[in-house]
This record gives sequence, structure tokens and C-alpha cells, in this order.
Amino acid sequence: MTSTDEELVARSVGGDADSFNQLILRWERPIYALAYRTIGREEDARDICQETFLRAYRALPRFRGQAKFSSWLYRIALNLCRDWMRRERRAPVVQPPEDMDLMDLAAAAEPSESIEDLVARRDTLQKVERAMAKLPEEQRTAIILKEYHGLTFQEIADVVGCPLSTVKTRLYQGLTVLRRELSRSAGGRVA
Amino acid sequence: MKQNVCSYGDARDGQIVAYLYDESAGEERQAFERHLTACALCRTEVDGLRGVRAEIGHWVSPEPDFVVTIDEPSLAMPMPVAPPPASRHRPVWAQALAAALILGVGAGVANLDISYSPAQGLSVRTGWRHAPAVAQTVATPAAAPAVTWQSEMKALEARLRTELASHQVAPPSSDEAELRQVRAWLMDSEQRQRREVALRMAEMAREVESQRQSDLARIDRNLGILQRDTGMEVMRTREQMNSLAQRVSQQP
Repeated sequence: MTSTDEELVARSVGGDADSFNQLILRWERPIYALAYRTIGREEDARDICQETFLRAYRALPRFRGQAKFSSWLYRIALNLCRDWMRRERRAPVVQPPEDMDLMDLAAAAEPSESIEDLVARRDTLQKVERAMAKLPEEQRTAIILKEYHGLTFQEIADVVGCPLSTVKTRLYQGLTVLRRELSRSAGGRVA
Repeated sequence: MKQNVCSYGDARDGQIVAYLYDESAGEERQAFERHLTACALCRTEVDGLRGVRAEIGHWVSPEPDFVVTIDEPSLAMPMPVAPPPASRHRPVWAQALAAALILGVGAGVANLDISYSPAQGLSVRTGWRHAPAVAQTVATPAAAPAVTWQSEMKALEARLRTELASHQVAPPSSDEAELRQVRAWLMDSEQRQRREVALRMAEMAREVESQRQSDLARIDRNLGILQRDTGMEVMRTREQMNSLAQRVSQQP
């Protein structure tokens, strides 16, 4: 039977390193994806992911369980991303993934996907990345947590530490900016 | 006619977002759905934002090509902190003391010998093994008789050799033995280096081979996909040609 995060956390606090390894296995991909989408650089996202788990491990005895373990991890990762942006004094970089060339897209393509589809998909990917990079940090974070991590409004409010109504406003404003940017780059394709 | 003003009120933006993400309560949702049927502005906006959601859904994050590892011993160590620039907070007396210590140790190691005599003036000598010629004579008031100088030097050399011999644990019995010893060291060192180079070469060859294998596998996979896609394109074109031919043949 699969253990819940809370059970694994309790066992990790009791000194069971294997339980913490299970938590890493479960959450390393989402945390890496969050860091990558927030800062836009694979190398630095990797460091942030590693550092997030290291900090979580160190702070585990102080984790009281008021929030979900995943929300707590997201908060640590977002704080590290914010530190990175402050240190680097820059907005997220629009950097196409290092290996994301056509050949790689083709390797991951659906069997029915043609070369034209692949090219269109790559273009869309680049447009979305560019549009996301133009969002203010708070709006981008809200959209990333909602769209790609499926957090509820309340969970986002807990992670970023703001009222629920603010989360809704950020999402609405962010989506509106994206709509404008995407329709501009696509020549009005998005309605 | 398209409606330009929405009457929903201040909560409109929040309601649109809650409706989009399916997070509004049942009654609230029904009320907003009723509003949507009447408000073209909100309908257009909801449709537009749905399109945005569909489009940003294409943004994939690369797969992590690493494994997070928590190195337990490193947890006991404090986080690395950049060291402050050297000598910024070091007092002057400490720097002077350190300099004096270094000079003292250096002089000891070099067996520095400073002497002054009216005949030879001030002389500075260093070194252990060979009887030094006068390293540096600062001032020589008068030339000393050569015989006295040579005898003193010989006496000094003899004293140094005696001292050195007493400090050596296993002195070489002769120059030949010393030479053999040095040769043995050299051969030993050379063999060690050869072994290291051979190991490194083997390691590199292994890395190159594994990289080559993974590249070949990747190329093979991508070629397969391209071949498949090309085949499909050919089939599609053939079908189009057939259908065109049929249409042409049906025309009177």
C-alpha cells in the first residue's frame, strides 16, 4: 500500500531516511517543473530543486503539518526561486529547453503527429514561454501553480501567503495578459 | 448587437476565474451560468480565456535528468559561506608577527648564517650541504690572507658534514648507492605514472563507448520516427492523387 505524504514525513522525522527518499521520488519532478517554469533555466532549476529538498530535510522536525507537505515544499522552492531572481536581478529567461530540438520533439511525439504538427507545437511552446516571461512574478506564480500543479485557490493562497481574492485577481489578470500576448504573437488566433 | 457593458458587478473577474477553473460553489455557479446566457461580453471573455488555458497547456517542462540526493554527512556541516576578503579585519600587529615568523622559519630552513669580522666584513651565508662561497659580502675593509680563509672554510665544511651525517637516519654508503636509490625512485614514479595514464585511458575509452552507444540508439530512434512520418506522408499523398484521379475520371 502506498503511504501518504504525512505518513512518510512522520517516519522521516523518526530517522527513516528511506521514507524521505520516497518523498523525493514523489515530488522531485513537480518541484523541478515549478522551478523551471518560474526561472526558465534548466541548470538553475536543478540546483533549486536539490536545495529545496535539502532545506526540507533540515527543517522537517519543525514541520507541524498545518499545511500539506507538498504546499510546504512549493513554498520553499518558490522562496528559493525568488532569491535566485533577486540575486541575478532579472526576470525569467526565455530559454528554450536545451535539448528541445525537432528531433527530440519527434522522439516524444504521438505516432499520428506529422513533421508539420511538430513544428507547430514547437512554435506554440516558444510563444507560450515568451508570453509567460512577460507576466509579473505574482501572476506567473499563480498561473503556474494553478495550471500545471492543480492547486486550489486556497492552496495557492497558503503557498504564496495572500488572501484568496488576491489569488483570483492575479489569475484573472495573468490570463488576460497572456490572452493579449498570445493573440498578438499568433496574429489574433486566440479569441 | 454585441453588449459592451457587463452588469455583474465587482465580483465579475473572480467569478470568471472561479467558473473557468470549476471552483465556484453550486448556487454561485448556476447564477453565473444564467448571467453568461445573457451577457455576450462575459461569454466572449470566458471563451477567450479557455483558449488561453488550452494554449498554455502545451508548455511542457523538460524531464529532470538528475536524481536528487541528500548527502547525510553534509547535513551536519554548515552551509558554505563565502570567506571574507583576506587581511581586511586582521590587525597590523598580527600581520607583523606573521611576517616575522615566516622570516624566522625561512632563515632556519635555509640555515642562514650572518657574521661580521674586521677582516672579512659582514657576510651572509645560506645552505646546508656545500660549504658556501661567501654569498654576499657587504663591506670588506681589507683583503684577508687566502690561507686563513681556506682553512676556515675547510673546518666549516667538515663541521657541517659531521652534523649532517649525524642527522641522517640511513646515509648512503657512497655516491653509487645514492645514485641507485635515486634511480629506483625515478623508476617507481615512472611506473606509477604509467599505471595512472593507462587507467585514465581505459576510463575515457569506456565513456566514449557508452556515449557512442547512446548516440546510436538516439539516432536509430529518431530515424525510425522520421521514416514512419515520411511513409505516412507518402501514403497521404498517394491517397490524394488517387482521389484526384477518380474525380478527373468522373468528369465528363
